[in-house]
Amino acid sequence: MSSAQALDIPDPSAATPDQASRHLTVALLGNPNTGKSTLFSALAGIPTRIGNYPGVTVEEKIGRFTHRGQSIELIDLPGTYSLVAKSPDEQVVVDVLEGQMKGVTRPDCVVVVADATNLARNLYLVSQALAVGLPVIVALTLGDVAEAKGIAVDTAALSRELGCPVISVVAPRRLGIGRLADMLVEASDWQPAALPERLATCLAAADPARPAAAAEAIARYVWIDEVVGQVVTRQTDHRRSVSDRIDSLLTHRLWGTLVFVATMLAIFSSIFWLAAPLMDLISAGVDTVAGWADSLLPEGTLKSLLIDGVIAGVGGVVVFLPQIAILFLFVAVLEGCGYLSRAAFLMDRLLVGVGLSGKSFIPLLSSFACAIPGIMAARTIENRRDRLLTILVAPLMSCSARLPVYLLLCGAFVPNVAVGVSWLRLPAVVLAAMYAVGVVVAAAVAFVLSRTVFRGPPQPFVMELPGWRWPQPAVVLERVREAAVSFLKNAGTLIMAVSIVVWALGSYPKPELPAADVADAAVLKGEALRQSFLGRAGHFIEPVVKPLGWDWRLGCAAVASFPAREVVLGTLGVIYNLGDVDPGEEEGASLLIRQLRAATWDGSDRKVFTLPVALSIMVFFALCAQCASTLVVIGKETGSWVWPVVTFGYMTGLAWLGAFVTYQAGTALGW
Amino acid sequence: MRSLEKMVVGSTAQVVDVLGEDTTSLRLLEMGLTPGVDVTVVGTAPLGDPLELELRGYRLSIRRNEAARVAIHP
Repeated sequence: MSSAQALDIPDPSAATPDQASRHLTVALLGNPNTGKSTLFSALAGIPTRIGNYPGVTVEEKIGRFTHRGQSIELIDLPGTYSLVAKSPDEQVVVDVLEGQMKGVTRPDCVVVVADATNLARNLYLVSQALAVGLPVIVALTLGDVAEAKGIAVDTAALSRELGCPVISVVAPRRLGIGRLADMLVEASDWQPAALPERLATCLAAADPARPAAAAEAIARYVWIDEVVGQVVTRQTDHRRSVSDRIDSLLTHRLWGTLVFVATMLAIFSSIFWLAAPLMDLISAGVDTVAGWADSLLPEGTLKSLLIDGVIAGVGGVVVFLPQIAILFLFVAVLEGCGYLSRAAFLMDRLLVGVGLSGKSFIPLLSSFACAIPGIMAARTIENRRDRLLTILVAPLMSCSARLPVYLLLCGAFVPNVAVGVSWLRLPAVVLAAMYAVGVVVAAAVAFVLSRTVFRGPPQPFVMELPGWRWPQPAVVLERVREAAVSFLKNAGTLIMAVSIVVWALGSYPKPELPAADVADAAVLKGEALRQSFLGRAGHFIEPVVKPLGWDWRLGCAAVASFPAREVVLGTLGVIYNLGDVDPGEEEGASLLIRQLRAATWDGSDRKVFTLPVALSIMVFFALCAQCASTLVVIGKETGSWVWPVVTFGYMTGLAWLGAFVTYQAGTALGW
Repeated sequence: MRSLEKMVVGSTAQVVDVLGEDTTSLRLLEMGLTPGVDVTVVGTAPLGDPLELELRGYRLSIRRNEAARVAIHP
């Protein structure tokens, strides 16, 4: 198979001497699920740059490698089915190939990755790539899988039909990688690919009565059918392949659903339980660092800033790293073997009803553990509108940080009586109701937004269900690494900045204390918080929180828990003069409960915490956006600071409304 | 004319045309649902929508309202 010789390669002496020192830019183009990422890893290894293209939230992935002394920059373009752009992703692909993308040099050549098991549909993109005015090389992947299915592709014949080199590669085993790299080094001297004559004829004969793009699509397939007829041979014996058999089991109405539920339960519980020991380890590490800082630094502002601001803030966020890594490990494995599309297929109908799509399912499910990995998992949704809508409602799923708040209040203020049957206790029912509130409100919000703000032409759900195959370890690890790095970058910069600001608001201005009170550290701390900007904010918003049944101290605790909901327990302890309370500690918690039960309104003996108040606090925390890290991640993932503001606004509004209705209804019913 | 939406699971038919001139119709054509191609309905999701199709040697999933645009024969 010697395809390169068939082409007219210009005289090598035409190359200028300094050309070798210049690096070559190669674009990797291909349909999704063609093994493009595996080929990228095989050629360039770990990407040197991952970010977004300017102005759009489309991932830019670039790798560098040197072959035979030639430095090559490899651009991994987003997977696309067509160069007639219908989405921001596809527009980026077109812009890069045409040299219209700001800050990206026009590639010297294009490698089109084509799946040998599914040549016809892959040739569609190839037929468009041949017209972009760049040298084209076709890398034929998954030849081994095709062979097992009884499909044989004559690469030499294909190369003749296309008028460009075709190289068969099996990237996981590095077959053909060296030859492809050799060709990349030479390709910069080639002429741009020309449209094959037959393709040009077919396009010229396109139906003039149709819109140009549709007529062209049909004409391209006329040509593709001719080419496939000449280069692909299928064994006549049409055996049911292993892939088909797995597929019919996993998309079966009953068995498919059962496997799906089992898989999701496994993922969901691992995000909760598998991550727990690692999270404890990180917490312990953070505590150790805080301990060192405590013993090394002199008392004062710097120490407080470092321990209460930086270490507590960043430490409280880095703790989520294991959950993110585990979730992305699962997502990458499911994506690699082809299950992610099946999961979307199975769940689509359910989610379409509320304006989302099947692809929203995994991000939303993950958000029950933590909204941050959930929002990051929304990267797997190509459709921009569906992705944004999923991100906006994901924080409404009750995350694990809400659990301590629910547990404390349910335990302390919900009477432990049986509901109907003896084993079903009221606190458990209330706890389940809190999870239900989040789901129901998320469905309602998605429903309303999809019919108002995000109203538009129907979003097509035309999705390939790729063949079953083994996930590639290199691709899976890269996905996990990528998610972890981008999360840590956020934690290290923006989340730290927010932590410092909140620390400052809670520490300044310094309290003026009557000398007599200084003796008790807890009193001192409570007084300091009351007199700080944060405390004053609590007083300031009292009129707003009073209809919820809250006194100013509860308002203050709610404001102070802006960085993270779980902080509210510690804040309640401080503000009701308890000293630091560890939410996980049974004794501390019961002390907190005693303290809260005893709390009365300023200047009266009316109790602050009644059942309606406890319920209103829980509903508020179920619906509010009190998590700075989530808001920062929403900003990063959407590429705009509008969306975190919108999320905070609508969630806080709903939280207030929900708490108001709960308190007023509860009081009216005499709970 | 019959539409792909009305096809029985397990049956095969030939695409006659894709109706409509928007991007959804273009996407269906680009995915290979062009006039003359054979398409088999392999199955449906548990709630009856979307459909799983086989055409040109691969599996494609589309919703019923998209399938309604695809005219088939017989």
